[in-house]
Amino acid sequence: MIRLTPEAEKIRDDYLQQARNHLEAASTADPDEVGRDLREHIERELQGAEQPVSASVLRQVLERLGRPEEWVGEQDLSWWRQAIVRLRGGPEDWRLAYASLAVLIVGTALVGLLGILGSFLLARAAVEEPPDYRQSPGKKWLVYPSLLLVYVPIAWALFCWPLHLTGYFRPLLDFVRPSLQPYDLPRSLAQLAVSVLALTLWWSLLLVLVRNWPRSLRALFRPFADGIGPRQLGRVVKIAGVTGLALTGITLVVWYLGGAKPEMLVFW
Amino acid sequence: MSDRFFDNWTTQLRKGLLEMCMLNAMSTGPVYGYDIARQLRDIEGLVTSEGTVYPILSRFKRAGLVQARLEESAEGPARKYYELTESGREVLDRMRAMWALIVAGVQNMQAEGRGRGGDRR
Repeated sequence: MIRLTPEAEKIRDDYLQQARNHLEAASTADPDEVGRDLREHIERELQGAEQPVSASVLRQVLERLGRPEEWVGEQDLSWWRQAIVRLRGGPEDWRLAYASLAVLIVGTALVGLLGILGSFLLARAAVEEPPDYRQSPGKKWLVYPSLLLVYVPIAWALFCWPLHLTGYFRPLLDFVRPSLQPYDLPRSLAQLAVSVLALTLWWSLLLVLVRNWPRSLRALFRPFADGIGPRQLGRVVKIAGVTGLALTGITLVVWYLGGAKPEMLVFW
Repeated sequence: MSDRFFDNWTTQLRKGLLEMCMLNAMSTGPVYGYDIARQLRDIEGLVTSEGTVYPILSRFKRAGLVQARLEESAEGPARKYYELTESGREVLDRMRAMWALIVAGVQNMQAEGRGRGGDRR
């Protein structure tokens, strides 16, 4: 195993991510397989180099490997991606990003939600095929607002919908407005325990699904989930599962010791 | 303008040739993926970026022209070896035959051209 300096490691990971993005766009090659081959190639090229390998030495290897966008012919892309590539090709390659921000500001003022949707589509197109996206950090400030406006509600709906089923927000309201309604601590604790348990189960199921099909999560939240792989997700499954179950257990014990009756669990 | 024209032409020429050379590299038996990239690097003008090789290998695999297998290595992690399948061999044979035809035809044409040039002089 070759050791790299932190800077070199970041450059390598960015390069492999960039390669993946291009290969996913073309769909003629398996991005995972090519990623492994590239990693192996880099390791072999660096064998015998002084360790930890510096960024400048790594750059020479990456230069010989070439720019990932050169590996995929435009004809290998689907028609809509070809259209995006043509639209993107412009002064500094930033057209879509500028258009996204413009539509967000002007479009939202004129047509409301439709403006956000239009801006989001342009922003997704801008990050979909980013040859040097990571090398142009300024571009993210043009596209992230539109992406976040759509991703945050999607993430909320996807990750937190069990809270609506368990009525988790009711005790919170009770707590905030004690004068309107007397605060019922045992009932709220029970509700909290059931909510945590429901979330734990849902997240565990969700994470297991995503761990097996990580591409779906990356596609849904691109580019924020680009670096997430099965290994990281596996760790999250374990931590979320253990923490959730422990929290549920503790809350139920506190609730029971507080003199509550099991019938109180039926509260929604 | 002529530089751009020449660049486009060489890109087109390389594309098909590279695929044939890669299948050729595997014609004698299983080859380590990295060694294919190195062999091709040594052919002057054929490979401008070594990384091109890996998406093509993956495409070959998807098309059933090659198969890959991992083999333990004393020097480090397991290495991936690629070898031609029966259908890969068939495609390579057809490519070689086509290449021989084209080379012969082009050489003839160039020889005739040189001959006509000599007559004129």
